[in-house]
Parts: sequence; structure tokens; C-alpha cells
Amino acid sequence: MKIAWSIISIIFLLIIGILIGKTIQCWPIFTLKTEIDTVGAAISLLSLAVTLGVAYWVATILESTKEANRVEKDLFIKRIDDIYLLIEDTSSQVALQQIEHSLAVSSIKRISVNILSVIDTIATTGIKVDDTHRTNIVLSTRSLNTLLTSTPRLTQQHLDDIPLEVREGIILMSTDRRLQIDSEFDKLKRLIFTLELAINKA
Amino acid sequence: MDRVEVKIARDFSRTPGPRYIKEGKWSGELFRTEKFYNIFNDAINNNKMVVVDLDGTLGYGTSFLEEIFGGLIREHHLDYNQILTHLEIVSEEEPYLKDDILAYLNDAHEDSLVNN
Repeated sequence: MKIAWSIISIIFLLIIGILIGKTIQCWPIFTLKTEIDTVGAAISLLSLAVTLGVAYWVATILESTKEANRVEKDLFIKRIDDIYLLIEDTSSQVALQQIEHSLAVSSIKRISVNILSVIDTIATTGIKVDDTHRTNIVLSTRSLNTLLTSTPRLTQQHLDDIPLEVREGIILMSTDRRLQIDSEFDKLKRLIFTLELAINKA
Repeated sequence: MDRVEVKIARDFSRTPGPRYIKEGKWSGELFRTEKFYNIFNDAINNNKMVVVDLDGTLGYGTSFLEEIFGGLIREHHLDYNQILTHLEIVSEEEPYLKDDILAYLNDAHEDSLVNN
């Protein structure tokens, strides 16, 4: 049955082709040349070859480069998301207004070193991200470290309102200082989100 | 100039602590009084360079670094310019700590000028 349908289809298409050929021959606006322009044909063939080459380049090389770029960007963004979780974790510890000194300094260092490592790795790929992201993130982590770990010297300890003190390795902070730290954490999160957007757009 | 290397992670602790001994373990005060001042004083007297390597620790609190460097001027009355001449800081992991330390030394120097 399938073979019969195929034969009928081929005969039908042949008839349609013959009819179109006859129509073009009879139609006054169409003129058919019976000689071949070899130079024109060669140029046309060359043009066809170039078009096919460009199509192949766009379809394979350009698309695969684009795909590799996308995968790299996704990997960087995933890595930054992990650092973002570390920031949230440290931020929630600070919300209790006390945090172990060693935990505070090590978390800030991990955040700083990891984010700078990602930014430096991005610089080695073709992805272009503005230097201001790095500068602003460094400033913010330094500010956080100072807010969290800068305790007063002996000469300053007579002050009634000490924002931060360390007792037996635990950092205790005033509400004002905690709010300052919260605000700096929010700023750092915004900067990191902006960096992710920049990576995505690059 | 001969060089003396001080690697805090190796020669003191991988977990440097707060400013004062009374505040917790591995404080800046402990490091300065038991090790750092002697090393630095000896280096100045014998014209050696002290190379302080900050890498390899779990991180530094601002007060720890301020206490060990600023304390050299504040507590031991070492000369600011002599310290700068004999100090080299290595910090690959957190390069900005070099600027912080120079700022602590400068602040301690200016405070000492005001107090004298």
C-alpha cells in the first residue's frame, strides 16, 4: 500500500512539474536563456559556497563558543551563589548579637578570598567584568571585618557605650553595631547580585 | 640586609585571636609581647629585614593586626620610620592587609606625636 502511494505521489509531482514548466514557457513575462554564462555561474557557485561556509560557521563554531561561554557563566554564577549562602549564614549568626571571634574572622576571610578567586578566574576567561565590582566587594568585606572585629584599645575602654567587646573568645556587640553590620551585609549581598548580573550580561 | 621571616600561621597560630590576652586565646598582645617585639627590636638593632607572612591563617581580626603593629610604637616606643625600613609584609591571600597595616602604623605614630 505504501509503495502504491509513493508511486502515485511521484506521478502527481511529475505532472505538476510538467504543468509548471509548460506554464513558464508560455508566460510572456518569463524568458528562458538556452546558453550558460560560465563566469556568472562560477561567481554564483562561489557565492553559494561562501554562504554555506558562513552558515556552517554560525551553526557550529559560533554556536559552540556561545554554548561554552554560557556554561562558564553558569559555573561562575553557581560558585557565587555558594558564597552568597556563606554570607547569609554569617549574617544570621550576627543577628544573635554574639558570635565566636574565630568564626567571625574565618567567615569573612572565606567570603573575601572565595569571591576574589572567582573574579580573578573570570578575568582569565573571555568574560569581561568591570573592575569596580572587585573594588567595591573588597571595600565592603574590609568594612565588615572592621565592624565585626575592631575592639577598643585600653585607653578607649572607659567609654560608656562600647560598640563591641570580646569575652572569652566571643564577640558581643551593641544593637547599634549589629544594625551597622546588618546594613553592610545587605550592601555586600547587593554587590554580589550586581556582579552576577554583570557576568550574565557579559 | 639579612632577612628574618615570621610566618604567623607557623610561628604563632593558624587562628589568631582578639586584641588582648584577657579577651581570648592567641591574642595580638600575646604575640607582640612574647615574640614579635623581640624579633623586631633585634632586627632594628642588627639591621635585618623582618618579613611578616600573613598567609595560611583562618583570618585576622582588625584588632589583632592593629595591636601587633600599632603596639610596637604605642607600647614599646619603637621608631615609626625604623619600623617601615625594616618591615616587609607578605599577603597573597588578602593583599589589602598591607595597606591596613601601614594605616595602623601611621595612626599609632600620629597618636604618639599628639601624646608626646
